[in-house]
Amino acid sequence: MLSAFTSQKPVLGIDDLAETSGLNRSAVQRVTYTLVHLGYLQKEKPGLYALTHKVLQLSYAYMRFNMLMQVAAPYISELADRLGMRADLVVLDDTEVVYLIRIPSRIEMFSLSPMGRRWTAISSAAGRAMLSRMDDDSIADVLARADLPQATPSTILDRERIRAIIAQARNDGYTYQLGEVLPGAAAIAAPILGASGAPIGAVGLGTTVTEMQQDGRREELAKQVMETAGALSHMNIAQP
Amino acid sequence: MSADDPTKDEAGEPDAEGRRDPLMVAAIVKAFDVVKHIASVHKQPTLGEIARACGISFQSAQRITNGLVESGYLDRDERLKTYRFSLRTLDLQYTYLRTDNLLKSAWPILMGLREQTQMRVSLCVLDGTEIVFLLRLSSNPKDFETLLIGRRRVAALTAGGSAVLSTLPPEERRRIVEASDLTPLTPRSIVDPEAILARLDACEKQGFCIRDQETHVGEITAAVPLATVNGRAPHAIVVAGPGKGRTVDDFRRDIVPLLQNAAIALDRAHGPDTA
Repeated sequence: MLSAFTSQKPVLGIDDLAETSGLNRSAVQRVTYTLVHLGYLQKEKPGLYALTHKVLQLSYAYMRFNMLMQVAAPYISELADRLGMRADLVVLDDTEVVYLIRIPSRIEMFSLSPMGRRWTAISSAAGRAMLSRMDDDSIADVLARADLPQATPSTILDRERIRAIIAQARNDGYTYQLGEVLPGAAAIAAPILGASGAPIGAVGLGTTVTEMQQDGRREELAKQVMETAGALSHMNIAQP
Repeated sequence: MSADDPTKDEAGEPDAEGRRDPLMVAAIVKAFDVVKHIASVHKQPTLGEIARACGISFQSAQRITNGLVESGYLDRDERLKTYRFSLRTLDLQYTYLRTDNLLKSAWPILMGLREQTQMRVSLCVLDGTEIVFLLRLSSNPKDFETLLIGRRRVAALTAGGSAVLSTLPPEERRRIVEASDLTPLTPRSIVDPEAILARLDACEKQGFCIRDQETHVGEITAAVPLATVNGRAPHAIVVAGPGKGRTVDDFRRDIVPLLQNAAIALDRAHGPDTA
């Protein structure tokens, strides 16, 4: 029932919970009563519930055992510091990418950390970078199933064009996107390979579309993400 | 949870701690005992270890872990036959961070504090005898554990915890200190309950708390409590930095005023009415 709480619907009432869980109202009432008593839910307003910090028990235990995060954290941070730019560690979860680490740039300082944020893999540079190191059948499968919302006017909605971008990424060792997720924002990413040779994550850099289009800048940033991702690929990290 | 009605399952039975609230759903209480156990151990547990630690049968442990695996929050390592939390647990963290208004107000203020101090900055809250770090801005990414939110420390042994305890009534402080696991964190940790209580009095009087290498070797930590509001668990803001070349007096003079300004800004931004 905890999974009913999402960033789109962080505060829920008994009826919402009954609908998403398939339980009847009185069962939902007893479950929420129990979860409030255990401290995982709190009453926001009468009849409305939200998650509490107790849920961090689970995510903390996950992160503590995550070898990729542990090994990559100093690299991502060093990259962000050296370039004065936003740097990310991203993993693939089926058709979505999940941000594990984001070192924000100064401009982005005033928004909450997006750790755990998800986005459709096929629209993100990091997602396409990871897909580029998977076999063609897996790529086709993700391309067929993934959501493809038009987040901006620049979002590429033609799945065949995305397939071609992924093929190009396989060739180049990196990929980038211009304004497809947020207007004016660009990203560039390279895949991290695990001990088995499969992609286990991606290193990404975020900047503006304008900067990415400056003469030679994209090539320079590509070199940086590939170097960092390459260093992490050589550490033979097991697939988490 | 699965679509089976969990309230039909052993409803009203007392849980492991003998609580007999008839409205509690025993199956859920047991499931969260398992969650708590898996979250607290340093090694990924097997079913047998889970069953033993939670005082439940192997079959119960199996049923609960199966439910958690099905819900996506738990992964089974097929080779080692052990359990660990999954990537999906970050969804809960992500949602929680966006629900809590205090955290939203705190983020830019903590960012500013990190810019000013160039040290590690955190926000923590009291939970039982422990504090939980809710926001952390690291200055040294090489120390992985200090990057992670959700980390827990014994309140009475840390600057942040002492700052929050100092806002509580004396009898409440004593109850918490006496219930705490006072295993020293460093050779300099002060673990005598009476000494801890005396220092909490001092902390209350001065309004801040500084600890020299008592939680991390080589690190000084300073903390101030946020204004406590009815119904809100006490929070504190913490700055931690290398003790090398700095003294407690330097922290008192340079860091504490910045912390106090940040706490005032946060109390003002958040406001008492949102508690």
